[in-house]
This record gives sequence, C-alpha cells and structure tokens, in this order.
Amino acid sequence: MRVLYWSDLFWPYVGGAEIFAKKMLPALRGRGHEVIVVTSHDHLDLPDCSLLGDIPIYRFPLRPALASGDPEKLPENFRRVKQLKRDFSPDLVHLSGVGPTAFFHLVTETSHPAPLLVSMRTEVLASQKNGRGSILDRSLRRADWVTAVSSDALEQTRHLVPEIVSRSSVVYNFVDAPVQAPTPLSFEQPRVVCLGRLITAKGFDLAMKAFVSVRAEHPGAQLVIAGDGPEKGNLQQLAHHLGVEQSVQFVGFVRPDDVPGLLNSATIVMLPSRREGLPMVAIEAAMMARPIVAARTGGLPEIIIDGQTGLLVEQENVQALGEALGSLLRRTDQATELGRNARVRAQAMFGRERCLDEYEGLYRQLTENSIKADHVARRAT
Amino acid sequence: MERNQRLSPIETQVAAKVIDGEAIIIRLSDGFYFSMSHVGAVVWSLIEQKKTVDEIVSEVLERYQAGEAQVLGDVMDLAKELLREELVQTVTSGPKPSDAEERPPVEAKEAYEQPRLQQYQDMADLLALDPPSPGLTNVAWNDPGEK
Repeated sequence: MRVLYWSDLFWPYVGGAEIFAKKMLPALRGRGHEVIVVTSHDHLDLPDCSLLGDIPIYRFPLRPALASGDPEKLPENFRRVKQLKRDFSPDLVHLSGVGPTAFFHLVTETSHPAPLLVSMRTEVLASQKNGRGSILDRSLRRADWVTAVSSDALEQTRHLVPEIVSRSSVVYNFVDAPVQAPTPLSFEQPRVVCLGRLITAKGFDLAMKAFVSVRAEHPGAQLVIAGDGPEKGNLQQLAHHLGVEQSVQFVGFVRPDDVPGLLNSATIVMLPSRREGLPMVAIEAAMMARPIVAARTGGLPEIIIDGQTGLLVEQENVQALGEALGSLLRRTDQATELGRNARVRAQAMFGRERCLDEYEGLYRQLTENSIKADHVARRAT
Repeated sequence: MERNQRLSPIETQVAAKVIDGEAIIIRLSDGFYFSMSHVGAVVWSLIEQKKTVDEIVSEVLERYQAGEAQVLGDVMDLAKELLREELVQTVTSGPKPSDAEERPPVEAKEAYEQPRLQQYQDMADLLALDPPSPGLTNVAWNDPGEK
C-alpha cells in the first residue's frame, strides 16, 4: 500500500524519532509498501527532494513559515502539500509525532482524504491540556487510530481525548541488536555518558550538577555530553561555573553507527530528562548492557525497572541523581548486574519484527472497508 | 450582538489570509493560530469586507442550502466567538464601494455546514520545543516528476 509518512523533521536531523523512522521506513519498504516522507526544512541546507534508499523525502519550509507569524508564507506550502497528496494518492497517512507542521496536514486533508494513523512520541504539553483547541486535540479526533510509544504517553493521550480509547494502542519502538558486543564496565576512570539533543528537555544541566558530587568522590571520573543542540553554549558555561570543565567532554554529534562504541565506553548512562517519550538512547544503552540512571518521566519507567535494570529518581532532583550515580560507582557488582538485566529485557521487548508487524497490521486494518466508512463519518464532524 | 452590527478584523492584532477556501488567522499577541473552512472562510471574507451580520447571513444563504434561522444562529454564535477571541471588533462604518467583492453568479448552492473556529493554541509551544533556526527563506519547489 501507499503510505505518506509525515514527520516534522526527518533524517539527517537527529532525534530518537528521526533515527527510528530512518530504520523503520526502509524496513516497511522491504515488505513491499510504497512510502514517501513529507517533512520540513529547518536550519540544515538540504534539498527539497532526496532519497532514503528509494523512498522520496519531500521537504517544505513549513516550520519557518509557521514561526514567521506571516500568513503570506503559508499559501505556497499549502499548494505544494495538496499537489503532492493528489499526485501520490496515499492509501494512508501516518503522522509520526504531532508537531506544528501537522497543521498543514489537517488543513489540506480534504485534498485527498485517507485514513489517518497518529503516533504519539512525546508527552502532552500543558497548553494541550486546556480542553479543545490545539493541533494535538484536532489530530487525535481526526485520527482513525492512535499509537503511543509508551503506556505513559498513551494514558496521557487517552485522558486528553477519551474518545480514542477504543482506537488506540502502544507500539514500542525497536532497536536493532548492535553488531558490537557489550564490553565489561570499567570503574577505574568512570565515564558517565549523556547522549541526546542538547535541549532543555534532556536535562543535561541536571546531569552536570549531579556530576559535581560524583567527581568529589571519583576525581578521575569524566562526564561525556554527546550530541548537539541550542543548549550547548549554556552547558559549556555551566561546566565552567561549576568548576568541572576539565572533567566534562562535549563530543558533539555522534553518528548512529558509532553509538554502540560510545555506549561501550560508558560506565553509566544517564537520562536526567525533564520530558521524554520512549527514548531510543535508553533502549540502546540497555542493549549494550549499560546501567542507566534516569528520571522517572515519560516512557523511561517502561524501559528501566528501578533496582533491576537501572535506577530511577524523581524528576529535577539533582541530589537524587548524584546519589544514584555514586551508589552504582561504589557497588560495582550491582551496576554490572543492572546492565546485564537491562540487555536481556531490551532484547525481549524492543525487537524489530514485532514493531513492524504491529504497524503493518494497523496499516492493513485502517485501509479495510469497514474502517474507511468510520473514517468518512469522522471527517464529517 | 445585533443583526445590524458590522464586524471587522482587528488589523493591529490579527494577520489573516483565505487560502483555497480556508481562512488562516494568526493572533499576533500570542502567536495562536486559528482556521475556518468552507462556510467559515466565506464568513471571514465577508467580515474582512466589514459586512453586517444580516449581510453575512444573506450572502451565506445565497451560496449554501440552509434555512435562515440556522444560518443566523450559527453566524451570531461565530461572531460572538470571534469577538471573545479578540480577532474581530464591531465597527460603525461599512466598506467603500470599491471594497465590494465582485462575485460570479452562484449557479448551484453548495451543501451547508456549520462554520467552526478551529483553534491551535499549542502552535507556539510546539515551535518553541525545538525552534527552527532563523533566516531560512522560502525555497523553490522542484516537482519530483521532473527528476
């Protein structure tokens, strides 16, 4: 079938959702489906159209147009999106994450009506909880099916729009088993690794503050911040302010192929996030048998079982983060066991074929005649 | 709200455009987006022409298959909502003769649907999560069929 995959940003922009889509879409293509990607231009200089294997990626300046607050920047984008929808004639639209550009899909829906699958990838924002009147609310009510990457995200979404209870489910992301085998944890010069976009949601500033107490006990410890993003400058300043800049490495963007190697160098992986969906980094760290210290937020408690496959602490609690890190660095046997358990659990829960089967099953279900009738009725409301 | 009340967008606070039968409205004070389609877009176009409620109802009845009482009720409700959201204001003076939109004669009335104001209150927050970098200009569209 023909699937129009809509994503606010797409590879080579890097985030968990983008990396996941880069792996999932070719796999769906390999199962015989015809897929195109509609996404937005942003700060990278990318072509309007490129290929991922033989999957076309179409980029429009959607996000800058919305951010400009100038309605004159909208018409051309609407025209292009409508033309693309008419030309491709998708059997189904898969909205991967509800970002600002979902606005363009919602407004152009009637140009080529098709069943809509919405996949929730992050928590519900405060501004989205104030009753009807948001891009998220409208997307969910229009959806023929809603998936979420975690039970936590699904529960929040169902609470927001209860009518989707009967047409929603959890579909966990998948992570391929790494080619590289996990190496034993090294505690001599411990390395705490934080991997992700450098944005406030990831809480790497909290990691840095927690690291101060760790370094006091382990002077040779290193904190590795891997990734790029708008918070880089602030984090570098914070490292200087805290007096730990000699112990903090900013290694920049890490190519996905190099992530297993980076994780293998870690003694502990830390996710002190303020907000999360189902972070791929946590699954990847578990696959590499790394113990994880994480905030109890989003889907993290579904990846990490506290005390069994990692340690969970209260959100925004620097002291608790520091105590968890210190505990694992003192109790090395426990740290090793947590990492080992994490790998076993990740292999069972986040396999590729399971995930693809679930999405493909939903695609098939949503394009059957009975669903199409409901879809037409929902469009009329 | 009286039937002879004339409405107009609050031009200092609102940026709007009707695109292919869809009215897109941006409230500049907070970046909230709104939209109205079909009948709603027609109503917005008439508000841009500073029509009265009665004039709006008359023109909607000319274009769509609906009863007057229903259209009047829907237009009044919509006008109140637009006022509440501070997108429009009541005005005393009407359009200049040159502002009057010239419309082609209506051949067949379309099916009516209640005009609704869709709100997108989370637009600014969603853009702020991972803001796009400034300075990106519009790019030419290369039809993939040409490649």
